[in-house]
Amino acid sequence: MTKLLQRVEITLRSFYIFNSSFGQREGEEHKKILYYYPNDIELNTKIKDVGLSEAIIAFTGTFTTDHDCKALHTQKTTQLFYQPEPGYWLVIVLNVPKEIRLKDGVEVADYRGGEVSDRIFRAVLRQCYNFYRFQYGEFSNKLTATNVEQLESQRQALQEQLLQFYDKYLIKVKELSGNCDIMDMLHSIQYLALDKSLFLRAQNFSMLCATFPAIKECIMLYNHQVVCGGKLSAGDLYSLHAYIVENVLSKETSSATNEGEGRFVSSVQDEVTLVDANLPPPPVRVHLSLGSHHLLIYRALNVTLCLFLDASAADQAVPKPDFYEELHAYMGPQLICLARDIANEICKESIISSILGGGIENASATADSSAPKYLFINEQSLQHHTNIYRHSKSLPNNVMSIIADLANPSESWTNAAAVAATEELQVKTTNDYWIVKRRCNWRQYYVILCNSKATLLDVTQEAKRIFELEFRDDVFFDK
Amino acid sequence: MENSSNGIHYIELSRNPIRFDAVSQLTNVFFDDSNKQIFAVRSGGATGVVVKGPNPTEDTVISFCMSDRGGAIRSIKFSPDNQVLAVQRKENAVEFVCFQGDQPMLQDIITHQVKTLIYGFVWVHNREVALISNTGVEIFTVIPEKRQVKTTKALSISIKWFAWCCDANVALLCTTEGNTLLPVLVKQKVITKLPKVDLGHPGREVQESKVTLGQVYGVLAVLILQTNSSDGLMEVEVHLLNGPGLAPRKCHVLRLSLNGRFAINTVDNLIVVHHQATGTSLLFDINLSGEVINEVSYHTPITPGRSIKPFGLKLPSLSPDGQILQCELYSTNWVLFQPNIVIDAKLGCMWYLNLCIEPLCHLISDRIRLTEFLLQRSNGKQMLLKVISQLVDDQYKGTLLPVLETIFNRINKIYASWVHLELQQQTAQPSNVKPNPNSKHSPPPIVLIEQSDMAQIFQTIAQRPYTETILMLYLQSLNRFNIAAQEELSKMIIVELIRNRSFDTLRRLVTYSMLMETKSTACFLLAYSNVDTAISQVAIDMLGKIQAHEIIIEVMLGQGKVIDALRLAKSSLGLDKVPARKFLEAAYKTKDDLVFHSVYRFFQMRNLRLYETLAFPKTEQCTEFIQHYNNTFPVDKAPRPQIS
Repeated sequence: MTKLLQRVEITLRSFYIFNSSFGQREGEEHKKILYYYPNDIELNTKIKDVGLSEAIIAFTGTFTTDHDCKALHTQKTTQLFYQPEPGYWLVIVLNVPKEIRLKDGVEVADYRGGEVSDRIFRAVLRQCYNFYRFQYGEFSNKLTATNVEQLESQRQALQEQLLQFYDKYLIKVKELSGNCDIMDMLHSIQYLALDKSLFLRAQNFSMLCATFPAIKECIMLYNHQVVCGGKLSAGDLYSLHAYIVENVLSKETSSATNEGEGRFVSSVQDEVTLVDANLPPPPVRVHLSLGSHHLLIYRALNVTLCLFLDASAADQAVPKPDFYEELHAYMGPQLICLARDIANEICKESIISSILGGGIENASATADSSAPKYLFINEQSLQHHTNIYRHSKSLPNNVMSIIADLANPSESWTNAAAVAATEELQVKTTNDYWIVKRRCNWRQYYVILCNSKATLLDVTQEAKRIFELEFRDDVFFDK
Repeated sequence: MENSSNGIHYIELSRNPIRFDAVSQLTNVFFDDSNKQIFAVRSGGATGVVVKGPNPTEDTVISFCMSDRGGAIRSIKFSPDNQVLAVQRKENAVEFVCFQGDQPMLQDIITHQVKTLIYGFVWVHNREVALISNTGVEIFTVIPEKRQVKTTKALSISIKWFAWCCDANVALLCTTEGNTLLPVLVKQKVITKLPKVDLGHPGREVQESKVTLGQVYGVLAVLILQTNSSDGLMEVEVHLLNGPGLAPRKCHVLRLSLNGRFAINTVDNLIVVHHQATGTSLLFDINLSGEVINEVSYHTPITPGRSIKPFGLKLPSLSPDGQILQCELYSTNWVLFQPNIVIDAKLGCMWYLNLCIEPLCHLISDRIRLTEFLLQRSNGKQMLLKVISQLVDDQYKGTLLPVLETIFNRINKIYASWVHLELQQQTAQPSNVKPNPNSKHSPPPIVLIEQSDMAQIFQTIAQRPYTETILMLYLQSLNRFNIAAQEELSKMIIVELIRNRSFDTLRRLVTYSMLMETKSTACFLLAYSNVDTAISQVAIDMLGKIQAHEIIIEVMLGQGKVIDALRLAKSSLGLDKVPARKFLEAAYKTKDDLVFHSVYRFFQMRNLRLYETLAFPKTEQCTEFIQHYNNTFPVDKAPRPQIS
């Protein structure tokens, strides 16, 4: 008989960025490597790993027209490749989960490569790049020199920058690698559901851009939810959201917020020496798909206002302190007032829902894994609505992987020619989970049920009930 | 009169004055402000009386002669139907002359003599006249047939003087005892005492010349000129009779900041205070906000005072260019009557005072105040629309957006009250209940700016960088007052949002149902589907909301999603109403055998259920598709299709 001794979850083995066009000459191979994690291993191993990846990419290239090698599965690892800019490759290598079993008195390692969802981790890899680009811009923009020496120094600068950024970023990835889930894959955003007059007020707050022409865009968040996303593309909005959550909101909870007055906050991570507390924090340069901008972050109660100032032109000066002051004086009281009204509204809603909220809300509150879960995503806005909390491990990995496989990949959403199909699927997993997927009008809906005795009819009924309960605002023709 | 004020005048005299014989040794002129008739009486009536009404034409001028019965005429007034003429020649008697057509029956003069001192009389009905004398108010009925005058109603009170407001049928009596000002409602057969005017401290004496009665915004106002106790400058106290039981309340004080002689008119619900010494007229609007102290608003003039527009009177002359006489403004010969009548007895002219809105707009620089002002003016609509269109057009500045927001709110507040009133009138009438004639037609607001008016303005600024912002502001304002956006505005917003690629906003507006949801709007959105798939999603959402399944089916068929369309058709139209030919044709066009097969089998199963046979009824004209099916899936070769 076999006996499970130990289970090792997915772990990050290595992560590297390379560009083959550097270090073409023999003996300079290490120049190709722009970043390698873990850093403290032998250079030769790094060079070998990169070389292997290059070889695989080149090899698969003979079978496809474009270089789009995506994944390599070995018994012990899963490697994912991503080429965001021509020549630049990001590679993530994961150790697959391993179960050590005792079989006839001998320890046997059983590698569960099938439990790693390529799609989820490809999305994680993509976000690794997107998040870097959001803060620093594209790789290729850093290497503009034609002169060899200058190019080399620029390359080194890039290397330095990547080291700084990814050393920090990967800590998070490492923590999560065991339980990355569908939420990491979808790159979706939760919007705040507001009463329409409040929504219009929030929306028209971007009138600020007209009063202060320097402000190009104005995004409002309430806690972790987006109130209005302006004209930012969904991808940028996701990065911004992640950035704010990471660098502003996480700090906010620790430091005492001064109630009743809004203020500019800093998003720079190492805020060790704040020279003058009265001085407004300097703007952060961020890179959107529309060009680079200065980002000012203003907090008023639970509202975070992100103001984007055009910084694409080189001579665009950093805004002066009196600009901050003027802005603060102009919008502070209004924003506080708006934030209060939103807070009241949310408070009211939560009371109502706690009174009216029947089965679903309470069931999920008790949070046992057999309670029905749902997930809704609008492919056009990347808006999601769910009771699956991130990294909560509320669903087994295999269910997550199945959803990931069912989910229509986000790359195809932006393709205008693709016509969104209407479909309905029901999947039963080996561990008695049912997944009901519906897709219609660029929206995907999932209901996950756990009931071993359910028949197809029961599942259909239950799914229908949840669809009607949770997604009543949205149109669904095939009820 | 000098007109140094660089040519801007906000008050003018009506272009065609009513001419009458000027006052002279022979001619006396009287004006009856009830009937707005002017009487030119020559030689006590013996050589003729000419009566001109408010719009004199050849036909409406009444001229007649009557004998001078001794004693100069003190007052002369026609009954409302011009059939009885009341003439007061003595202080204790009134004569009534009956008319046949427009000629007096001089043999039938009824003389009504009383023992009291008559201050004046007013007609309250065709045959009823109220006499106000030192001992009270008395209503008499004149019975011409019996040549009789009969008392109908009387109120005894000792009176010092009185003022009459014909529009409200209210007489303001100044009592001898305690100098109180007592408004009295005098109607046919009824005299109603109203609560007295609160003059602040008891025993305050108010002179007759200081009091004007007028109607402002449909409410009777008692305007009292008085000296401000602190700075000695003049001000006007406005007592409005809008308290409980028409009780007068001191609501407003108009600060004139001048001294001297004043006269008051009301024009278009504005209080016009003329100042003779400076030759200017000050405008006050009690509906504009003022400084409020102890529930009394203190107003300053809307703009610094300016003179009335100079008037050139064309004198009758033989030469073609005529001779123009510049009339003296604020002349001592002027007599003012309510609401807006100016009579120059020496010149023989009667004018109406009119407001010149346009020049006034240039003088009010605060756009919000200007909006509030124009919203109360009877011909303010065009001007207000012009002001707004300038604001969003050539005067546009980003910093003006909060001003625009306030303006939109002011406009829409009135618009909303009207929309909701109309809605109530439509819904609140059960068919079996007779509609109450009083409440049925409430008057529309003075200035009503509807969405269609605004849409016209917004059309002119289409496709500008800031148009979206303005439209969203307007939408917000509409939403604030619970008014739904109409189709024209909805489409305009859609166009701007799409142009700026604000798909997120568009999506959320549709989710909130803030745009007009009609098939036409949805199809309008559909037309933009090729710009971005987001629009197509939103369009279908909207169609779904209004249950326009047939259009969605067409859209899906157009996209080649035959199975999806069929599924929707089945659930929305019902199995027996799904047109077979249409779907088979669409399925055929996809050139996908599997799709065609599925659709075909679906209809076969339908046939089985409806007609108990697999065959299609002839009326559905599906022969070509039956043929195609048989050719594509020959019976012997095809595996038996499984229908799950």
